[in-house]
Amino acid sequence: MTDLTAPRASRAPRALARLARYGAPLLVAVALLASSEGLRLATVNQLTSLLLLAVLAMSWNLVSGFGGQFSLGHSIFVGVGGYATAVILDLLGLPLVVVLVLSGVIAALIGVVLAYPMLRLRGPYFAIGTLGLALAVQGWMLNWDFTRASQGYSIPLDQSVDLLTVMRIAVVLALVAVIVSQLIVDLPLGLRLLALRDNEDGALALGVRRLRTLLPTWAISAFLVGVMGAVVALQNGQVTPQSAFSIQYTLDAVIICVIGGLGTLYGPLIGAVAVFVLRQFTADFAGWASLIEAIIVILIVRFAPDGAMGVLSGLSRLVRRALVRRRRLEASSSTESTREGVAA
Amino acid sequence: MIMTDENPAQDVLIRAAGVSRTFGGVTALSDVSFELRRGDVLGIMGPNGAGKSTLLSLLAGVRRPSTGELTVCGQDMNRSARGDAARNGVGLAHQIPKPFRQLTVRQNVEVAAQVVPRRHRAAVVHEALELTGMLAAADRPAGQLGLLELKRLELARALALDPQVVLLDEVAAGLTGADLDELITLVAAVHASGRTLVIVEHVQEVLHRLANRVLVLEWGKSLMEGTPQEVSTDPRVIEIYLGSARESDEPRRQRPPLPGDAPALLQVDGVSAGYGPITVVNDVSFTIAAGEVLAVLGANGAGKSTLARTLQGASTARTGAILLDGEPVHHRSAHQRVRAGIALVPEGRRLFGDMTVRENLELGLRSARHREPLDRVHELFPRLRELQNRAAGTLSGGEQQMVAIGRALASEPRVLIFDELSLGLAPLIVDRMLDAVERIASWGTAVILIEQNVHQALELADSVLLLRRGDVIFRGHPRDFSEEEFARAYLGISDDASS
Repeated sequence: MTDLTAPRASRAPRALARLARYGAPLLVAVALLASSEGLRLATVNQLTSLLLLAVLAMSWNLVSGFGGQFSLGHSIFVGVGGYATAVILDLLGLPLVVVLVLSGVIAALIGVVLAYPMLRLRGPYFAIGTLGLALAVQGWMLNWDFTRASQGYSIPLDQSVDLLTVMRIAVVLALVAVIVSQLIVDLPLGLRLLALRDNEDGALALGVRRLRTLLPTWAISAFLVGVMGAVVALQNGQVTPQSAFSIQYTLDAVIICVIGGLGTLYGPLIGAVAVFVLRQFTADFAGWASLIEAIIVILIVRFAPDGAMGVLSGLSRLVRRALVRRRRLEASSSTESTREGVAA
Repeated sequence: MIMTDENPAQDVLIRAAGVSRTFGGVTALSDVSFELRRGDVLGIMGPNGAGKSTLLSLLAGVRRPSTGELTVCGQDMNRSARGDAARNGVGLAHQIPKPFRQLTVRQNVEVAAQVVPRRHRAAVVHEALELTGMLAAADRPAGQLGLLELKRLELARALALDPQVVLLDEVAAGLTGADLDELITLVAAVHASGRTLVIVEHVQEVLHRLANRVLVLEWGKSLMEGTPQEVSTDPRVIEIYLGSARESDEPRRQRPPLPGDAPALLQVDGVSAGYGPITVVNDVSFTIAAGEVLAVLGANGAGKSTLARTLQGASTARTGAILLDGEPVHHRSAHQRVRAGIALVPEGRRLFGDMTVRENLELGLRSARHREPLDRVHELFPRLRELQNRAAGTLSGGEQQMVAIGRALASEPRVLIFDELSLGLAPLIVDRMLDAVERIASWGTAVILIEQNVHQALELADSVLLLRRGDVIFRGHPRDFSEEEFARAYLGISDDASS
């Protein structure tokens, strides 16, 4: 057996990098929380929407980007989280934090129950299966008295939360989503997940258990989206099946991840910002907005299939190569000059 | 290696008794029995379709035996689930490495190491990387590796399962020269580290240098078991690689000998081709005239099928030129080449199984109105007229081969390539197929015949092209073709003597 206590040269920088990766989001979140007091209410509301979009995309990215299971059913969890929050606040009046966590747990449980049969499907069948499920659930919710389809389910006034608090909750949720994504990538679970995505047969042959890897990931993703749906409900003050179970949430997640970079840690964040800014800009063009967005997505899929993160890593590779080349050039010219010196 | 059990009763790691495996109606493996003791190196050889891969997939727990008893490392493989074998001490290195391309080399190995207890993981990963010489490349993405490194990684992943038995599926495929030597050294090192090996291999050098016993399979049955020397000199083994001679005295060949000055219809000039980092066909040149039969021979993995695909346009030639009637066609796509007159009867026939025989044949036509070629097909195979409304997928192997030939003929080819014409067919049917080839050639079609049955192919051929690991090692008239040439190409015997 080999000696493992032998020092590895890269150990210290690696630990530092890991610290930075977990520390940086924490710092950003703290800064956002600290500076939120003075913001205009409109800005607060916009920031909330942006953060929720990012959380949605990051959670979807866990299952579909890292896990390679292209889910078109994530809108279900937005709806479940929203309704869970509205109903619990209405009937039980528990503390807000408990309600939010409970909404996430309910979404996660439903997620596991749905995923168990769904994960038997592969590739396009999985995508169509989850899409069918999402549409069926929405149809059911629209026709169920419990959801009060037309007028929606309002958050009771005495339980309603002001927009600044909603934003702070969104900041914390986004921080949790970032940290959880990183943890998954760093843990053996993430390794198994990526292995399954890259080559399922190969992974199974190496003893990776498919369901044991995908179900927990699915549950975590559903939990985060459930809480996100709960915060959406708080932000809007009410939930309707029409909006809460809308397929648009899933589509948003897909578009954001494609733009930012599917299966990357920061892609969904970058994509969320890009899509959000784009939508602020195209809002002036009303009917043209979705067309512009569609064209941009098509262009990205065609010319930068790995999204913004792909472009960034491509650029950094170019820069690094140029640096190496220059260093080599310098080295060779300096040796040449010494040689000339010797010759002289 | 972490020994979990030192019990001497477990010295037999694999025990197979009457193991069979069928796929639908096809028997891929029939009544195979053998034992493997700790520390053994068992080689498995046999021609295409002999059941080697099926046997390996049973040992690795990818599939279950249909009947018979199979115990691997104390586990009953009749009850095992996918992946159980990996957790139970069986590592499989695939023929074509399929790494997790987005992960680094180390991460690839770590995925496998998750089956060993947590406290051993780091050590197992390190050991696997070190033994396979991949430590230096540990942080590179697997997608960037070259072929030899991919093979090393494939082996490293299998080793990271901390297996008692390592199954190697044609790990030498695609490697030549120094790379091959390096790989053999590596496999020997794996054996020396205390592992028991099962090696499926076409490159006989590997078996000669590593195996202490060899199991020869043919048609799913075990033909013989012995030392590598015994096996490679056994007449039965030579026969399954060469094919048996025909019983009938009547000469198959009806055509007059080809005139020496016949103009070349197809000219192939220095063609190389391959997949990804692998070069499978290297600098192949030949010409063929109208009405000529060229037999392309060589062991599995010699590059015969790749050559066929390159001529027909399914793979592109990396270098060299392919000229049809003096016109370069190597830049044209497959369907353009069909129009130009090059057709392929692919290995495994590739029929449209849900379509009827007639539909399959009509798909081969150049134009739906111009149906005359079908008359010729029906004249050649009258049986196809009776079968025309049957779904092609329901036909027997021989009938399917007729449809495949008919489909290719429907495009009125000037050059017709047969890839493994007789593969999986009974001797009587093979006879009929070869008669058909003779007739097709007599129409003035240039025929490229890729065949396993060497004797029968030589009966028909005007010229022979012998490939060995992608290189042409013999080109000329069949009468100049010697047994030594053959042995060198198929069994690697004289090569061994020289090395």
